Amino acid sequence: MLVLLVLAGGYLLTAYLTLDAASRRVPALAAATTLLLLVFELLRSLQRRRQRLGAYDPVPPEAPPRAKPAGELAVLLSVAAFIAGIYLFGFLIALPLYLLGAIAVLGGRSWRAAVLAALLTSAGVWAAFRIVLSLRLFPGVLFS
Amino acid sequence: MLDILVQAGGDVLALRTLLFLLFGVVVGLVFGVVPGLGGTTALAILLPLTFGMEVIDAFAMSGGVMGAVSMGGSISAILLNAPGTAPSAATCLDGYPLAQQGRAAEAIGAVAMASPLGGVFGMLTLLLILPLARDVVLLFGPPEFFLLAVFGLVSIAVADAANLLRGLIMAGVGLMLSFIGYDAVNGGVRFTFGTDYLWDGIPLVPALVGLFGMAEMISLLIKGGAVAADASTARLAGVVTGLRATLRHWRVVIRGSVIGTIIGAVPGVGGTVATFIAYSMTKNADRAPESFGTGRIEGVIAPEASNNAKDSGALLPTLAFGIPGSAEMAVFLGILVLHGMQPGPALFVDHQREIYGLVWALTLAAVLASIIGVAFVRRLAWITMVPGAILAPTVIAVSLVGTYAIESRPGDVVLAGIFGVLGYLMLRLDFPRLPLVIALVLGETAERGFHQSMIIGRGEWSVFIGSPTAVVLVGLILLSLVWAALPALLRQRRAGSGRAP
Repeated sequence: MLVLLVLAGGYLLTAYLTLDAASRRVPALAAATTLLLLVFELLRSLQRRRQRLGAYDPVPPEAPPRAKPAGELAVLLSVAAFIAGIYLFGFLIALPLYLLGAIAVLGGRSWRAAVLAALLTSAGVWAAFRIVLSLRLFPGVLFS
Repeated sequence: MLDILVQAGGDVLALRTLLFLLFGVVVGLVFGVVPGLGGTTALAILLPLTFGMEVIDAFAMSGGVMGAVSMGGSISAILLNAPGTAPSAATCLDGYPLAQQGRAAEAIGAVAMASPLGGVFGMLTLLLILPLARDVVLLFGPPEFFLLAVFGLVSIAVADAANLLRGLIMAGVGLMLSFIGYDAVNGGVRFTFGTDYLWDGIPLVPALVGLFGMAEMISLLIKGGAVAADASTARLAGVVTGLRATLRHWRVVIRGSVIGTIIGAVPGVGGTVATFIAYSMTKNADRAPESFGTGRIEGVIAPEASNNAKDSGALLPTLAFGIPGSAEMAVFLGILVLHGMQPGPALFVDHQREIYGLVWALTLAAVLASIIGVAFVRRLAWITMVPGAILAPTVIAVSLVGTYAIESRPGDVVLAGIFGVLGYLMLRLDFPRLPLVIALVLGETAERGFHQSMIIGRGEWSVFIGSPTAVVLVGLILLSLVWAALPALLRQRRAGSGRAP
């Protein structure tokens, strides 16, 4: 929520600093309204938290089960690494490597299953895009 | 009109188009069966693949997905008590008890008959209304289009009353994102921070692929395991009993179809509301309402007829005004734009044949999905057993390749990734994603409508209540906000008076 608040504030500030009155009218209106709603939501969350603390019940009864932070971070980082890999080395290198890592390391499956899935998917993608659709898959900035 | 309808039917029945339709149906069934995926994810993943296709082929494929996904969703709702799609949740109420009684096939038979009947009803209604849509659209000038965009945003943001404030916040964030790039009204570029890539604004396809397709897959990968644990209850005996039961309860089919078509046309209300209303109205109209929830076949028929009829209803605001009635329609709007088609009055003149082709595709898809669904019910149920650790990375990889293929811009892949992570965080922190997407779509329309209205009204705000249509729209916006906020306000008041000594 705080991140959104900072972003909306930055957006509003940028609108006032870089745009003329006509160009910033609607974006500034949207940003100001969003900021206002965010403040309301923040106050509401704080009020809820205070009520919970007042009732000696620090955990909300309907709170959804939280994912394991380490696993979550690893998955998000793997997606980021995959995208960076595509950008640097292209699809044909990044794709099988990501599938291998995600299936075997993150998913805890056997290396055999991971290699099979990586090979089949990569071959399928190459056949569908390169042969059927005649599209050139991005080779990565290092090989362009 | 009739000759174009026949020509469009011929287009869809051409072998190549029929194959694309069949492919869409199979994908729709598969994505429908797997809980959490659904039609929006399927369309978002297939969207890049439609690039380079003939318009009719793209429509056939997406129509196939939209028409088939509800059938798939209902199969897992009945067999596994895990609705593959949100609107199929109402089918669980009586479908799963039927499966527990060993009557799963009967329930699936009822779905197989009620779904296409609902679809055909919705399509016939759409065909009757489409010629009038042009006249209706002519009632709309810039102020009305601005108000309609605001109404679309508000009604979608408030659809989840429990999350009203967060829905409105996400609509605001979506609007802010929609203003990035070239300013068509005043010239110049905004909020690009010197990046050429953002000059054309946030591209819709990578945003949709990320927010829906990737986010769900990231979530599945983190949760681990397969989507479902047991698919052994799928047996085929008794399907015909279900088919017959649907025909016997034709009043239930019509009631469900009417509810689905009407509610589907209201942006933001969505199929889940339609199916639950159809279920509860059927229950209330029955002589023994208390027996619902224990395995009544009418409890399966009503939501299923409503589920397929709602797609036609949702097409109306999407095609006529560019206001998607649901997340699925928002992605479909992306397909329209990808093929150079702008929703609005001109669409019905310039692309009438393609639109009727879509109508045919949706109807055929519902029928084909029922046939395939019944024939392969057991195998489809096994898809829910594919480990998330294999399914999720594969879908993420393929959808990123597809996103790149549209414009061959590596930036699209990066953007899809950013939206994927954003979508996952929204899912995790319980922020609704649909208002953000709809705002991203409607932002430009709203801004253009606002500026043009101010020019027409010479800076006077009264231009926004200058016509009966505008007054009705202002009334609808206010009503939506009050309607959504009322329960919370009443709760707060009751709590306040209860606390007072």
